[in-house]
Amino acid sequence: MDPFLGFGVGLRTKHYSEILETHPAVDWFEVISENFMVAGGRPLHVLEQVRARYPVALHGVSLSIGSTDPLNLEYLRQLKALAQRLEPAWISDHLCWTGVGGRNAHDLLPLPYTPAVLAHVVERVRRVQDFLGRRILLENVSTYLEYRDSTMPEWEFLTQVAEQADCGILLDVNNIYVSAFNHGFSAEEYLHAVPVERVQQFHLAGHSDKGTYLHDTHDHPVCDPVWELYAQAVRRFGSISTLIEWDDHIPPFADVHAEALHARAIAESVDHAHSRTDAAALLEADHGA
Amino acid sequence: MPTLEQTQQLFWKLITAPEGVATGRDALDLGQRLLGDTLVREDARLSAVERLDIYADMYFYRIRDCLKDDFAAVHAVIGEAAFHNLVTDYLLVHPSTHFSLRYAGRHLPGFVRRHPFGTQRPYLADLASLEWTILEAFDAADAQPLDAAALAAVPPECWPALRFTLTPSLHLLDVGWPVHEIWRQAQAGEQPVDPQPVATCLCVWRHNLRVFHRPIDTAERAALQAVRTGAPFALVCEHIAEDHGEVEGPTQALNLLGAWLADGLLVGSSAQ
Repeated sequence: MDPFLGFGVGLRTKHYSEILETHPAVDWFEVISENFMVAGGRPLHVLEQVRARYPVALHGVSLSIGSTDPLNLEYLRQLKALAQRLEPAWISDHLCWTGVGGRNAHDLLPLPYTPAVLAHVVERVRRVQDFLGRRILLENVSTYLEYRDSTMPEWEFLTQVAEQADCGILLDVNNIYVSAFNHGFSAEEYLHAVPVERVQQFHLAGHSDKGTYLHDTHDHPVCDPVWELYAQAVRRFGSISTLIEWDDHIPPFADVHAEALHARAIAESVDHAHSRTDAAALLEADHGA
Repeated sequence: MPTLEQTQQLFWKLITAPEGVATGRDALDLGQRLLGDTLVREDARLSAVERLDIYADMYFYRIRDCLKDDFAAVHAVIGEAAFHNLVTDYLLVHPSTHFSLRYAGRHLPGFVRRHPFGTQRPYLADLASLEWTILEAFDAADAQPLDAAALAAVPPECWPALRFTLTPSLHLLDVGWPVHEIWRQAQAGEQPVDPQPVATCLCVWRHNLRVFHRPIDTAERAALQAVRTGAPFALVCEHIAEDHGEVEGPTQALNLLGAWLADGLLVGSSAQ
């Protein structure tokens, strides 16, 4: 079972110097895997120094687990090599597709939620996990459309993927809030449908209100309704490693770190039903680990 | 019900249509149009086309913003609107095929050379090449620079046969224009000035995690090229002597060697 890492921050180029010079008291960092799949230079240099002081998790954006293209073996080889070099706490990516026909949109595109797509994704997750020799986490993405062909809600699809493929869930609380608004479903219902023992990480981020929809822009502080949803999530899932993402209009590091500290304060104030130990025991019992 | 592959191929066509999803939909054949019209749920707030347009915008602007960072000087020369149009044209011919956004611009220098913007400003493709080469040097493989003190211990009789290894980040870029000047102007926030054509070789490399570049003369270019191909130091000196003469040649060779060591261009030596 993956450890509880505390309350972390996504590592971004803008903060490299400050982090290396001041060693802020952050619990952990999450890094975008693809940014470090390079031969050498400053990115890897920074990453190795960060890793020497902090726990790190790898978070990918190009696994394209739902694509009908073949799995990109070169990508997986590089991901595995990076993981061997870095020894991350875990590896995560998104429950989506990012391209087809050999082309990459570099965006997290939504999947139809049908039994056939479920079987397709489950089979690919299993192959990825076999290749990497470890369980991965898949994250729910913000979506702006739903397919007419979908026959199940997103939370059921996510749950079924995790259960059938035996992977973990990175639950992005902001994405639940954004998608709930965009499609008119209940964020609370989503939270309460996801199995406690599968969730190993939370994401939090800010979004933009575009009037007719919410956009997952990662360029604002976390808003109050998302903090409230986070408190509910902690109440249900327990002490889960939590991470703040901020990708555009990035403020000084202290401001992003303050969001992580706020998450800690909320988590510590919540009288949650499941301690981390309980959830870990559940999953370990499931897998005989 | 369409297969997942049909859905994804159609989704891709719609969100990458250069003039938006509605125009992209109109360009589909009848069968695909009918499929497209039943693909996405719509509601009172947003139509199916508007929902797909959110993805179309994210697709284009994410890659455009990345290319704007990678080709900041090209952007400074042609301006925001032209750069937007350049990226629109580029993505139609060269959609990203790599898993990393880092490589989205790898075909841009060649594309600019054939694009009307590149015809209007013949130096633009060379400028794009310099920016791409800087990016290549930025994350090239690491190598420990050669220690000058260790070289001092090499016996004089071994020097003619000495072979050096160049840092993996080193590139020799032949351009027809002094585009390093435009690059500097763009970096300084100055309005770039159209240059006069001058055949130039730019040496681009990384040292202590920073990328540098400087113009080099034909002798240094020939010497570095000789080092790269594994030539012994005696042959490297001959290239330098060709330009600087038999008298100045040896001094110039030692000067260049000193500069290469100081710049971290050399990462290994062998007397074999």
